[in-house]
This record gives sequence, C-alpha cells and structure tokens, in this order.
Amino acid sequence: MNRTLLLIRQVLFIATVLIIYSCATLSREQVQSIDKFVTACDSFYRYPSFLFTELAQLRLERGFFYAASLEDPQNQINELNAIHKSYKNDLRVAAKCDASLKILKSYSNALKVLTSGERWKSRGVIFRSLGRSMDSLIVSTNRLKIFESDLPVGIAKNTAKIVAYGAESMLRHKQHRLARTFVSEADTLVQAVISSLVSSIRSPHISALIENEKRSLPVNYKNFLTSHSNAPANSLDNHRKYLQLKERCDKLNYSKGYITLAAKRLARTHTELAKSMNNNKKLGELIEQLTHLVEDIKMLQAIIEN
Amino acid sequence: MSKRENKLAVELLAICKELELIESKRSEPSISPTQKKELERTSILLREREREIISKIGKEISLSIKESGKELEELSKKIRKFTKKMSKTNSSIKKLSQYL
Repeated sequence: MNRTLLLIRQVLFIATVLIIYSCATLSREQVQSIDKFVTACDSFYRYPSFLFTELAQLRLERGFFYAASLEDPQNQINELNAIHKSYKNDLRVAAKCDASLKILKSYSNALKVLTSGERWKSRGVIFRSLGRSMDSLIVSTNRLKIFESDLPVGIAKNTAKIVAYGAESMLRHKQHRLARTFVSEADTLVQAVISSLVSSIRSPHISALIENEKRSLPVNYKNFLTSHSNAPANSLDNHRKYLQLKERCDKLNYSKGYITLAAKRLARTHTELAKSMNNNKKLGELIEQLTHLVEDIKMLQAIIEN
Repeated sequence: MSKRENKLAVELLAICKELELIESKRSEPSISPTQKKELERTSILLREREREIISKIGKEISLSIKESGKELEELSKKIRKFTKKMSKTNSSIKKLSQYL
C-alpha cells in the first residue's frame, strides 16, 4: 500500500512538473505566427535593393542615349566607359543594401530554427531510441547467461519513454523561453534597422535620384533624336525603348511608397509578436498585422514583377 | 537627415537643371561648331559631377543601413550559438545510443 502511494505521489509530482513546463511554452498559434513572420522577412528583404538596382539600370539606359548624342567619337567612348564603371558601382551599392537587410532575414531564420519543433521532438526520439538500445543490450546479456538470473527486460524502454517526454517538455520550454527573451531583445534592434531603411528611402536623396532620372530621360532622348534625325531605321524601336524607360521611371515612386509601407508593417508585426509572446496577449492584433503584411508584400511583388 | 545629405540632394537637382539647359542649347540648330564643342565639353563635366554625387549618395545610404544592423547581427549569432549548443546534446545522446 505504502509503495503504491509512493508511486502515485512520484507520478503526480512528475506530471505537475511537466504540466508547469508545458504551460510556459508558446502556443501553436504563436509558433505559426513566428513562421509567418519569417516567411514575410524572407520575401521582403530583397525589395529595398530593387529600388537602387532599378535606378542604376535606368541611369545606364539613359546614358546610352546621352553617349550617342555626343559628336566627338572619343567623347562617346569615354562616356560609355564612365557609364559602365558607374553602373557597376551602383550595383555594388545595391548589393550592400541587400547584404544589410539579409541581417533581418538571418535573424528571422535563427528565430525559426530556435522555435522549431524538430529539435525537442528529436530529443524525445533519441531518448526512446536509447531506451530501446539499452533493452536490446539487456536481452543480449541475458542470452549470454552472464548473470545467475535474467535481468528485467522492458524497464529501460518504459523509463526512457517517461524520460523522453520529460526531456521533450524541458527542451521545448527552454527553446520557447529563449525565443521570448530574444524576440524582446530583438524588437528594439529590428525597429532600428527598419527605421534606418525607411529613413533612407524617404530621404531627399532618393527623391532627388528619382527626380533626376524622370527629368533627364526626355532631355537625353531629345538630344539623341536630334543627333540621329537622318537615321530613321530603328526609330520605332527607340521610341518603344524610351516609353518603356519612362514607364519604369514613373513606377519608381510607387515602388518607394510600397517598400516603405511594407517595411513599417514588418516593424509593427515584430512588435506585436514580441508583445504576444511575453504577455500571452490575444493573438487577434498580431494575426491582423501578419495578414496585412503578407498583403503588402504581395502588392510589392506584383508591382515589381509587372 | 543631416545637412550634408540634404546638400547632396540639392546639388544633384541643381546639376540636373544645369544639364537640361546645356542639352537644350546643344540641340539648337543655330549654334556654331565651336560653341557645340564647348557645350559638349561642359555637358560631359556636369555628367561626371552627377555621377560623383550619385556615388556619394549611394555610399551614405548603404553605410547608414549597415550600421543600423550590426547589433541585430550580433543577436542572430547569439541565437545560432544557443541552437548549435542544443543540437550538440542531441548528437551526444544519439552517439551513445548507437554505441549501445
């Protein structure tokens, strides 16, 4: 009777500890929210550099019209060389911008790995496998008749199951506790990165770069037409090219606007994520932000791909 | 936004306007070959200055975004360090199981 009561007390104690650990873990919806945030980061990070790449390409194309309008052939060659060098430099700047935003992607991926169920589930699998291996060892030992009486079979396997469940719960708790800590810590830093990006995109710099392209394109094309007035052979292609470039110039301000919107939404979503993970708040606001964020990024994707 | 950064944006637009003027004069049919040559030379110099400013603007933007991400990069490394540590425990237990 005493042994039974002792066993019941032990089981109740273990169960209480496990329940406490389970309560401190993130809910399935919170983990899914992290996954969605990670996906959004993965989609978003390459779009800011698109603005710089597009400006570089428009400048390059416009440069061809300008170079062709020069009379002196040596000046034409010098200008083409300078345009090429400048274009490569501009692409390097765009790549640096990309590299900086990859930090955001790197953080979100690290977070995803931290909250992934695979690690804590695999610990359970490993412990259960260890239990089975120990039982197999016991069975083999019994066959060899090393001991006077057979060692009990099945205890290692069943104990390992309980230990595995405990190990899973503890590791899951640890992962989620760390995730909560890191998301809180990261929130200020994510806001800083996004704020810097938004500030750069909304700066007079970018407006001046866009304005420069919009104003210079028709001027350069006009001089190109004037200097090639006697060569109508490919004039329609040139007109077509000019209109394509004009359309791309016109889209720049829209792209700038949507990138800013998506960036701010990303920052807000991360803040909601941090709040929901720490205060166990209702997920309604977070889910709403995530939905809008995914829509913003789809809109951005549509603009850029068209 | 710093005064220097505003200055670059203002200078870029000033050069854009200047280039518009020069290009417009260059395309006039009434100018002499000498004048045309001189205008072409001026136009090329302005284009060089335009490229310089655009390059400076690009460098400043990429630097400011890079600076803002340094601490977040450190935090990502910290998170990866923790996950690597957790994986090591799993592989140690797995090795023991395989040995058994």
